[in-house]
Amino acid sequence: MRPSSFNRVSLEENKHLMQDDFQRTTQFQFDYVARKTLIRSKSNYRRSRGRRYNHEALFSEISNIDLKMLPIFDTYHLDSQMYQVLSFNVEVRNNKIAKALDMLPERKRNTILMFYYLGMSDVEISNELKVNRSTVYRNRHSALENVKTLLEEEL
Amino acid sequence: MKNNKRLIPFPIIQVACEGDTIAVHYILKHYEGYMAKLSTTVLTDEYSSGYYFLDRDLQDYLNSALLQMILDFKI
Repeated sequence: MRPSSFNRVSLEENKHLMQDDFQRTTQFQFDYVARKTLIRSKSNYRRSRGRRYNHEALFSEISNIDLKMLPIFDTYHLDSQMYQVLSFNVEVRNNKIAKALDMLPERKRNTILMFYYLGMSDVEISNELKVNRSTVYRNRHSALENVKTLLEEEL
Repeated sequence: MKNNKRLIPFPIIQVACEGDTIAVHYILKHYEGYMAKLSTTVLTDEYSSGYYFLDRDLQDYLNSALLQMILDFKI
């Protein structure tokens, strides 16, 4: 009897054994892959933590100047008062000043807005309003006085 | 390879790969201890006494990695 025929067993007999073997292999494969994945993800996590650590800083260790750069404040145009002077839109942020300006007559208010918010000189304003330069100067000063008294009254 | 290794039964692997919730839970439960072991570290203080510390973040990370692996596994 040849050795090869000695080992030969029919396929039908061994079918369940082969099935068993396949299942067992898959079980081991699954276990291996799972464990490998876990170990690799652990080292991945550690490495990414280490990488991030270089860019991290404690709030207490940041200098005051850097810390002041961090916050951002939103500005809303609804909070401020808008005036229209010479086809420009002038925005007054401060609420109290806007209230005081509202009470002034229009001519004085325009003078103040042009001088302080648009940065025009007395001469330019006088050319625009077609009045004397000294009139503009007087207007401006009386307007400032008015604003001052109004603000003081409020306080 | 150790012969007495506890393995997940084949049918469970089969249905877990197709996304069966109960089977996936079984597998997560099976590797829970191993994940806990991986995410535990010993911390030492200035008196050089050790404390066991369980890293929850790492544990969650491992959990999600395992979930991904189960769904990617091909028999």
